[in-house]
Amino acid sequence: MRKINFLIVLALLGAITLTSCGRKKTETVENKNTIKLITPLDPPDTKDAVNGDWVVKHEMADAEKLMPTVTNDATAAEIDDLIYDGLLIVNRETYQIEPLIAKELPVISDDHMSYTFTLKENVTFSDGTPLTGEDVIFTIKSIKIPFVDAQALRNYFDDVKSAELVDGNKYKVKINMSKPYFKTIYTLGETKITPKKILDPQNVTDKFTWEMIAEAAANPDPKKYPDMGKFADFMNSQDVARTAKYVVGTGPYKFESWKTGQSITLTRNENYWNKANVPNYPNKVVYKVIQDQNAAIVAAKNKEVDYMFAINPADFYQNVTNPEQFNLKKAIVLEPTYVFIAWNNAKPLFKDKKVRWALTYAINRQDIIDKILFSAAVPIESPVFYKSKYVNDKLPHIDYNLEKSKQLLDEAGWKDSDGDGIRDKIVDGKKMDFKFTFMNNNNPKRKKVMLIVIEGLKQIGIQADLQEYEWSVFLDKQKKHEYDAGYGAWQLSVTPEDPYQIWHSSQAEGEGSNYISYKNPEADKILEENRITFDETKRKELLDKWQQIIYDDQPVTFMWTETSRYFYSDRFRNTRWYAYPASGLVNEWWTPTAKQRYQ
Amino acid sequence: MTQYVIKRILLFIPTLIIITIITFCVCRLAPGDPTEMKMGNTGETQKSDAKNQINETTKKYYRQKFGLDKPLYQQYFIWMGNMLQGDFGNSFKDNRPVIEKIVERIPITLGMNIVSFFLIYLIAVPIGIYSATKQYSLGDRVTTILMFILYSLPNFWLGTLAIVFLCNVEYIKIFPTSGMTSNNYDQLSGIAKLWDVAMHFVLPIIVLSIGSFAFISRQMRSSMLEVIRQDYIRTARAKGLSERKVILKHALRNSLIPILTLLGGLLPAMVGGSFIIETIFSIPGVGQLATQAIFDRDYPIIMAELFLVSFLTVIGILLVDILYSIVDPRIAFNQKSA
Repeated sequence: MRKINFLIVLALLGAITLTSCGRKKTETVENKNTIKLITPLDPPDTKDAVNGDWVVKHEMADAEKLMPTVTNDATAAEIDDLIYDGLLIVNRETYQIEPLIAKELPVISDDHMSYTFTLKENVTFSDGTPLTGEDVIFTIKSIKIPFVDAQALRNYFDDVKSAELVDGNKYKVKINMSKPYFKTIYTLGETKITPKKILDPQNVTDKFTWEMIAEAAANPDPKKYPDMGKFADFMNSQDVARTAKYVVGTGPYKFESWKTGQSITLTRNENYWNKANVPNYPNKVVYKVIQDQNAAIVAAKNKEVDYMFAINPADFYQNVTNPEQFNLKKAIVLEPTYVFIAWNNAKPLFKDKKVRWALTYAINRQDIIDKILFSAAVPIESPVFYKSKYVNDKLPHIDYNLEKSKQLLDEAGWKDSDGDGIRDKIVDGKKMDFKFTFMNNNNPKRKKVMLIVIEGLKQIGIQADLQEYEWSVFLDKQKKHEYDAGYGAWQLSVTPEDPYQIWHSSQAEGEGSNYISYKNPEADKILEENRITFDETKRKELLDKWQQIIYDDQPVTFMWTETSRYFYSDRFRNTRWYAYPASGLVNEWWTPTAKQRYQ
Repeated sequence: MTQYVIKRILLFIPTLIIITIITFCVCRLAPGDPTEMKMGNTGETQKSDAKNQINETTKKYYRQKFGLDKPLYQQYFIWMGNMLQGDFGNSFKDNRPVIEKIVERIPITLGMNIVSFFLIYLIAVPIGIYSATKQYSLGDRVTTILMFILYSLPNFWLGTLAIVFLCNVEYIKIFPTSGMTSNNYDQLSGIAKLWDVAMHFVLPIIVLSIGSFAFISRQMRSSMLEVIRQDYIRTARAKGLSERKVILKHALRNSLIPILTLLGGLLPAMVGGSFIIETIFSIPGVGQLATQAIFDRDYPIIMAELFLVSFLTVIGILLVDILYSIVDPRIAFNQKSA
């Protein structure tokens, strides 16, 4: 009997040891898998490349306007990338800014108040008209005119004071700023240049001086500036936004047709000026709108679409396990975004740093990544893209640790004094329970994540609920800081980041994006300095210090950087997956003649 | 009769006004800000840079431009005034005239609904008659159960199921998944184009019809049952008329009356149903437009669409009343003095 007991104990012990060992093992393996899962950037494959075929890309929503000046939706921005060019372009492999329409990088004055661009002389719009400095000036002017629906873009151009040709040279433009800012070169460089000859044949905009535009912007009343109003009405009109007559750029593709709510078709720009460097192999690129996720996945299986993005993790990993069967391939791309749990720092519950640290300790991030995201995400500790050279990689990883969490809550004075299982504390003379509500935007994936977080918090005596809101209500509540906590995600860029908009105290009031009401004067100072720092080493130092402060304050719990998931047809070659922007560049894709599907 | 119709039409005016007032208020008082949506804040992941910032001046300018700075009642009168002149305003989102956006899409929704409408009556009425005349037979029981099952299936679920199982190379691929046309539509010949469009509409129309289809056939059955118990039917049978004649000539006409009542509500209900169907099948009709407009807080479009649906409802009710008098002469419009 004793022997049997002993054996049972031994077996149990063995089992526990084995499971714990096994668990550790799988964890590390899974972490490695995550890295392996990410589709590498293949070397170019353009030998024997031929023109022809179409790429039919899935879009979840129709575009609104294709005129880049007045566009602010993601679908249109992506399409415009193929129709228009900017003065400069961010290299998709090195993330360095390089000349495109401009001959070289701009000459920047010592005080960073003026940027002089020299343009290439062989750049033509798809209708054959050459691009000159006049088009650049016109584009900036049309953005600055306050009645034009360029509000999304105009914020970037707040600091632009004026633009002029240098000594009347049509290919030399000088842009003057009202204050120095390190991202100006990106703003000016990446703006899509529109043709003046087509959009302003009467040269109406020449009459508007920069002073006039600034005046109108300070007090936007179209009655006072009837000509500007008239020009704006034209720019805002549907003709300009939707007809091939006006949607004309210098890019590798031309706008062909728009079937409202169904599809937008581009054709190859045969006269493309930059063919030697930027290919345009497919005859057509069709953006096909399919709103329903299930329908879109079936459409991909049926070969009705060739390229699909934004796929639910569950659909991607479980629903389509063998894509080869449908002549599809999968790509998993690590894009510069990050996910966090936002704690509204203005609420008494989350005011104390210790509490926020306790909350972070109580969230088992790796477990959520494994369960909900099929291990395809990387836990992070900082709001800077973890692949960027500006990330502070010295910040120690915060492990899931309930004991530390409980201890910190005790230290912060949150104890279960009445024995109801929920921690409480006397705040402003009143007993307060540690209860709050997470806000979500009807997104089932986010909901799953938050339900696991809620379960975890229960174990340390915190009770949280979940409340779902429709997206615009969600945004409204977030903006007005009317929430306790919620799921958040920010999309970053690959170029040096300016965290000011999200993290500076001034942005916690009014219309700013500091939705979590985070305030730290020391951090503010660094962010202010960062904006006028032009030296990369200095910026790295500043951002490292700033990330350390954020880490110490834990205003939010940083969760992970997620991967984006794509399906694409296996008939394409040279499909290269970049981190940003627009992961696959369809103009580079080509199809061997035998495999071409469309004529 | 004419007098009655005029009276009814006059009565519509206050009805429609009340409907518009209520929808206008609900629309404006719901949380969410169209100027916010104007900034393109529609993606799941927000951009971290300045792009989503809108300064106060710009916001004020748009509130003014859209007339949102005025008191609610003034906004309503302006809307009403413009509407009476046939101007529903411009979409907040892309500046296109609302009328144009709706006119571009309404043939699709209306076409789908009219086909579905005929389909429903063409199939549901005979089934109802069959069930009623063969009450408690095996056929009746089977159709009863089948109809109840169909009636209780939500159409968004049915739509998704149809896409996953009937449009999928993995299971059965008969129909295209979504949209109105195939990718290579422009290169097809005349007949092939027609066939292509027809194939795209089969599933949405069936899914759109199924719920109403079951409903109408059930109503038809019970109304027919009620009629064939009447004395005059017994008399007709006693006269030695064939069963066929009794049912189709004497009973049918009277049993159609309650079905007609449903007709009034069916059209607007189906237009409402196409909100979901069009979204699932990515069909660019007014339903899809409305769904998107609601998410975007695009008030001019929401108002125009709600007005359209209420107008349809009211017209539907009028049509029913007129049809009543044709089917059942007992319903008199003019009180004739004896």
